Amino acid sequence: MADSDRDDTTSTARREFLQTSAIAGAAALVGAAGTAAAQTAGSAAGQSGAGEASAAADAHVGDVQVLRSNERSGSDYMVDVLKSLDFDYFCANPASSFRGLHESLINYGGNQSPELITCCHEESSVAMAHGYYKASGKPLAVMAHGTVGLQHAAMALYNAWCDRVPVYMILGNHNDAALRRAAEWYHGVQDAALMVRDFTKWDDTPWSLTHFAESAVRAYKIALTPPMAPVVLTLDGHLQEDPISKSEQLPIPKLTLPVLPQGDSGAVEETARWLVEAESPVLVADRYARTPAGMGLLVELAEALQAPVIDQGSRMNFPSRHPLNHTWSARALVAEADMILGLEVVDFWSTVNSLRDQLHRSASRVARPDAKLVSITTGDLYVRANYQDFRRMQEVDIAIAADAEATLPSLIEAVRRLISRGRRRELEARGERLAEAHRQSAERFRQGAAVAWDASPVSTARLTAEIGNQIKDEDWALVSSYYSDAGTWPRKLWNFDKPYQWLGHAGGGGIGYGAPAAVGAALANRDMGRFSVAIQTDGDLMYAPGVLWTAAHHRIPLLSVMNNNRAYHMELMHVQRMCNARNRGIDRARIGSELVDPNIDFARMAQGLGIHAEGPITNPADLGPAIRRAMAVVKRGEPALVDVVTQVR
Amino acid sequence: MRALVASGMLVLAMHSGPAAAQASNDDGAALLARSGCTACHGADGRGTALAPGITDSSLDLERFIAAVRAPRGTMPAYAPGVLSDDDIETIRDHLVAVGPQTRPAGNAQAGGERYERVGCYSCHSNQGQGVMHGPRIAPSPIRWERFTWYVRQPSGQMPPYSEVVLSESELSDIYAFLESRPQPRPVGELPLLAP
Repeated sequence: MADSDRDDTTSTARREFLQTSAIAGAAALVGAAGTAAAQTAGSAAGQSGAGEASAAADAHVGDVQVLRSNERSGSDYMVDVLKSLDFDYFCANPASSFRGLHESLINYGGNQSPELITCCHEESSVAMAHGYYKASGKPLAVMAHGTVGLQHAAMALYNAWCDRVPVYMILGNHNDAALRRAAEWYHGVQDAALMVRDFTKWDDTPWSLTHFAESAVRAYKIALTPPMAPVVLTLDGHLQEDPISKSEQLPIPKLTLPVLPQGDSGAVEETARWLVEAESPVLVADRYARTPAGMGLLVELAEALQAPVIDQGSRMNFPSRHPLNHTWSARALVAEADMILGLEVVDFWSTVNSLRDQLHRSASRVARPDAKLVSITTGDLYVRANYQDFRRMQEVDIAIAADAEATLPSLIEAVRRLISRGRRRELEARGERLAEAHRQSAERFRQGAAVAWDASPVSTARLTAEIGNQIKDEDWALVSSYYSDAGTWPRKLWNFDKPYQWLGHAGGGGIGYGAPAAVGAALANRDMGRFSVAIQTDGDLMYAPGVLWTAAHHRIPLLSVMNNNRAYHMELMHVQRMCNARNRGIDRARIGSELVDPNIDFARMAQGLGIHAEGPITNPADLGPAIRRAMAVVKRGEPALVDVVTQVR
Repeated sequence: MRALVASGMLVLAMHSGPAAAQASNDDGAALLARSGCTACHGADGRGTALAPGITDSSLDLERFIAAVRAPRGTMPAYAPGVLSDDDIETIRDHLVAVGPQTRPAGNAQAGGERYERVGCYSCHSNQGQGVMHGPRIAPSPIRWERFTWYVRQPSGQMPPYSEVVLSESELSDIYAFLESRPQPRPVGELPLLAP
């Protein structure tokens, strides 16, 4: 519509009405509406004799209200601010409470930087953002209704919280109860972020656009400052939709991310001394590698000390085939160690202790009583109370409250300075022993993988070897990491030597993370030219399989190979444990945990969502050719799925 | 010797003094009793609820002595002043003569069905190959005495299987199933597993 066609008097009155009522609230509505009604009387029909409120309502019927040429919407300005934060994508399932921002993103913002990704469930939106961050190091924004959308998203936000991954959550809400449409009452809430405040780092509900801008930049800064975590902005519908003058100068605050805290120099020096003097030091890394540089730094430290590394796997911390990688001998190493350094270790207690899960639970220390323990973690800088993801407290000898990756350069320097020539020879001899032990472990893994090689259903080792063989010449990244044993075999058999090849775990153990996180990571990898492969578990995919459609719709290349064991086997094991402890027999343990009768046809399901898919494959000899065909599809830029019925572990 | 390692009974140390004085003149059975071994491993050395059988040890004498001298777990160590090397050899000879517990005849096919039905596959996977949640137990399971003892009273995270939920005969079927699993092909014959 051309601007010249519009009735300026009417639009001005409407704008004044909205501004007044938005500020004054319901108690002042009658007066404000009365004023508005008076101002619009000339263009509204049938108002005489009515009360003030109804007259106000009637006054809007038939109004033609569009932006004038010298106006723009509040959400246009929001887009300006959000573009300044360099978001690549916004993930969202559409919702009316952020319709203003939605429209501004796709029209005013041109649907570029950020581009809107259509999701079929808010949990998928957040998990995609979770996976995207871990693959790219950049946060995504997620939009959702402040009520029903956030309730869907909550589980995935909890995963991101537990994994200390930033997610930039934007909620829509209509704060002003006097102007809510019918559905907006169900979608309206006094304090939208309350529901997730226990597991988000910061939230705000801006009351003006300037307030929004500051909070938007502040939220980004807080989310990206370790320990990282999701943040929430609740945006009022009127703040998004109300017009503002184009001439109004609104600021876009400059983003400056903080310099990260490094460990105290004295504590670092003492830690270095202990490491150099120790006969059996062990380096344990969990949520350690925050950037691509993290893995290289840990290699430097380990090689300087010729010390074994246990990579607990929440991040890609250490090359899988490095001779000092002794992840799979963790318990024996910890038991022998006289010095244990924990780098962003989430659960230090369980690293040096063991809890036996029997009818009567019991705990015992694994580490030597005289072993020195040092932790470097931002976990000491920020802890919340309600949810218990902080784990059991472990006594340590030095607790360095700092970012481990940022501290490593000074620790490496101190270690190198303290190693004498004679000590270096001793350390080299230790390194040779460790290298031989690593070689023997690798050989045992291969021998173990050969067991049940030709079995049907397909063994998870065979599944892993078949995939590994096909992707080894690609610039690949494994974008799944679930708790099944198929997640273990790749780390034992494949050569992980790049920081992006492993993304860690879900965080909070909430099932349903795997598929959307893989798609989110694949989205990041697509833009960086990497080949994404996921070993997709069946129970996980059934939470929100619609994310496969998202992958198809947005042409996100991802090879998903199903680890379809037709059950929630982790849970089945728990039920079985109870059956045994109570001496009632195990015959019925599968009830409630199996996904059979009917068996789920994942290939047909994926095909229905627009994806190339094959399966179910039960003969291991059929697996290689099917993966090859699916890879050809993925290399054309599309997702593909191969459903493989596997052994349970 | 893993059988001895996991057993451990402090009460053994209380019996060890008198035993040491007479050890050189005792035959194996008496020495086994006097040394307190039977308190945990049973009168015939074939195990009790406290400790596994030790009559099927595959350890050579040198490793057997080493395990008695420095056991892991809670079993007390036996110093040379308490039990000489000759004493330990006498005990070992006696245990070898007693021989391992006889295993009931097992049916591999029935064992395979039972293996899945009682949930062994949940951790050790369908063919007993194991990996993250349970170790490999096929195609060469540990010795029968040790196997049955561990299933009844596992020392780690494995849930215990009492005779109420899994009889000796059923357990033997499962053992037969595990033994019947095909030996893996040599890794060298599997190009996909090349280093």
